[in-house]
Amino acid sequence: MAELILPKTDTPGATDVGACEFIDLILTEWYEEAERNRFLTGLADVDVRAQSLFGKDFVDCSPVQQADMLTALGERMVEESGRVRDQGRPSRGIPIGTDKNFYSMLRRWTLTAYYTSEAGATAELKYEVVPDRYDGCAEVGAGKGETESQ
Amino acid sequence: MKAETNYDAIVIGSGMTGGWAAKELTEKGLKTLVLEAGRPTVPEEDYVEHVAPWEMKFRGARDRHHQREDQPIQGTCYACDEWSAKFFVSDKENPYTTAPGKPFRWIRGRQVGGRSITWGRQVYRWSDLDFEANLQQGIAIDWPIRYADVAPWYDYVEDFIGITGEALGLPQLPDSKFLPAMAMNCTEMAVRDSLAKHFGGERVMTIGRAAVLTKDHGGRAACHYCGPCERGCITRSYFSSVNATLPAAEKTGRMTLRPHSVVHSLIFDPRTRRVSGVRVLDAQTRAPLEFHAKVIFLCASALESVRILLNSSTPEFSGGLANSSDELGHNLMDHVKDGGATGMIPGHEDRIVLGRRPNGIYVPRFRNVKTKQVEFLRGYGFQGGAHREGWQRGIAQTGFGAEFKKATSKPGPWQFTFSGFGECLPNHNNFVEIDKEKVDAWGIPVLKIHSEWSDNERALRKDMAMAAAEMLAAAGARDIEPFADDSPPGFCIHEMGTARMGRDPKTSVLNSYNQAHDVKNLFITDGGAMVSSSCVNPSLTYMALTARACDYAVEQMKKGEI
Repeated sequence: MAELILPKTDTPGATDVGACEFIDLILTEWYEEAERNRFLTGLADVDVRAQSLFGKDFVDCSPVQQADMLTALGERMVEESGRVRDQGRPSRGIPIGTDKNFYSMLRRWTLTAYYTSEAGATAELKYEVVPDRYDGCAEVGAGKGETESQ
Repeated sequence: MKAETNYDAIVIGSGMTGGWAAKELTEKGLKTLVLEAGRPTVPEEDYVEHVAPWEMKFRGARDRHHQREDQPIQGTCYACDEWSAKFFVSDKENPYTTAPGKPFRWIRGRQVGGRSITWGRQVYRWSDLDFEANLQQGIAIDWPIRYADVAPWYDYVEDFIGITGEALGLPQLPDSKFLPAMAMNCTEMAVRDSLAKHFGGERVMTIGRAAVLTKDHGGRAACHYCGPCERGCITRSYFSSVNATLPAAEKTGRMTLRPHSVVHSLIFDPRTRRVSGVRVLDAQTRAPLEFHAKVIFLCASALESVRILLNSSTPEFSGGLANSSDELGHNLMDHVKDGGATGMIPGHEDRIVLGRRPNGIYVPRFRNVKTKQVEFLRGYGFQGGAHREGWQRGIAQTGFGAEFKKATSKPGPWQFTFSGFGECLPNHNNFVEIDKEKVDAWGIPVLKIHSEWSDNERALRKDMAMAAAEMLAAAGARDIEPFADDSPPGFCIHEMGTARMGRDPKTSVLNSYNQAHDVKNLFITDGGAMVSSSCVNPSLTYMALTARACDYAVEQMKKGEI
């Protein structure tokens, strides 16, 4: 599912950068038990739903069937999460407070794993650890260091 | 070898003001012992500003279980992240208590450098609008000093610190001695121009004034725009005691810096009516130690310095040393924050920011400057800035696949935030005392804090949200969201006022030179000395007052008065 959200293109995809291993780490060493259960129940529900709709597990569904299911999960996420309030701080940070919904949890950690990985940060975001300059009005595509990784 | 226990001066605390006291006293020839409760800070090992997110176990999401166990209070601070958590105390080892229904967030750093490692670096001079406010409004007591008394000391510390900013010539916010200003980004410039057009010059937006070097200065290198200053700075481009004042003190050969030295209390000699020394517990061995000196500077923070004095009671000073006024520990202030607004600013989609500027924008106080507000006294300034939203926006979106990945990797729309910092009125009923029921990891009685916002601070916060939304609307913002969150006192990490200065020993703890009225060789030069809070960030004023107090103390020693 992580790879469906951020697939391999001309840059690596979610599985290439170890998103699944990172999600495992979050499940085992970061989440509280209730959160872990919510995630695992949500994941199991995906297969239950795939079985009832298409008679097979999610991984065995066709790309179109999988896309339909992700779209449905997204619609439910929006209903359950409501509008996510931005933290209001123009700096680093990962949005908090969307962990009420399985798909939102999955998206949070998939995107985090990807964009904070070395490949995601450098190949996709052009992130530089030491920019050694500040230009507040550069042209898009002008160079390295275009968006924040963290 | 027996360690030396006699010094000319002892400085308690090695942070923002302790570093200055160490530098000034040693440079003036005093053999000085600097006591720091926490561990040593070794820049080459401890600074982590260049550690990339992929090198962190939780990729910046913090070690949540560890923080819940050990730093449930510190972890609420934005800077206490996966990289910098080590620069914040263990809440388990350093407990404190609060009065029922009156939460207080006490954010602390115990290591050489204290909180000067993680501070926000914003530096603003106070003005006579601040120094005269108590007198004019009949609140608390009058400041015994005015801007003219501090101005040369602002000059003096600024020359050493190196401050970036733009001169505006505003009476309510005197200019510092500036290094070149950092640039605004294009959206910030557009907002600045809109404010100039819509608010008749009353609301002005400028680039933040920050203790960050924009060119090489005093042997320290210009900023390289890596961004997260609170993780340290190996090029010493931002000011901290570790980066600047402590090395200067070390250079004199007269400083002895002793980490792992938890000060328990001061030793008062009733015969001479002077403090003769300091009782210390070695943080590692727990061994009790004593050190002696002719003069003692308390620079441990507004709350820790007062805790030491309250734990130093004598038969004469039963309510705490140097507390004949009964004001010690009272008049605790912080700045009221978490009022403001965010909005999306259309345009400049073809523009991007390169580099991470460790500084934002600033809107100097405009309330109760030229026109009078009826809803509240005093005012607030806005900090904030514009940035393009990053990949995080993709979490709450529903897209997926190659197109989604491509779009999410690109910078998002421009978001602008104004976030207010408001003045807190001094109030005798906001105070700290020793909690007789609880001790810290070294067996030292802890503080019980009684603090709450008054109607004036709540009115300021409400007005911040309204005014910020109004300014964003004037700048053409969309999706404007005002906010006025009920965050508790302490969270601005600007606690001050607990050992205020004054002319009258009956109503104040310190005289106009930060010298205790009751104990002539005792100085408190951290935030404790403040009589009111202004709305601007206070560290620059603490530093100027420290340098001024050191100059005075050494003069008094030469005259034989101390």
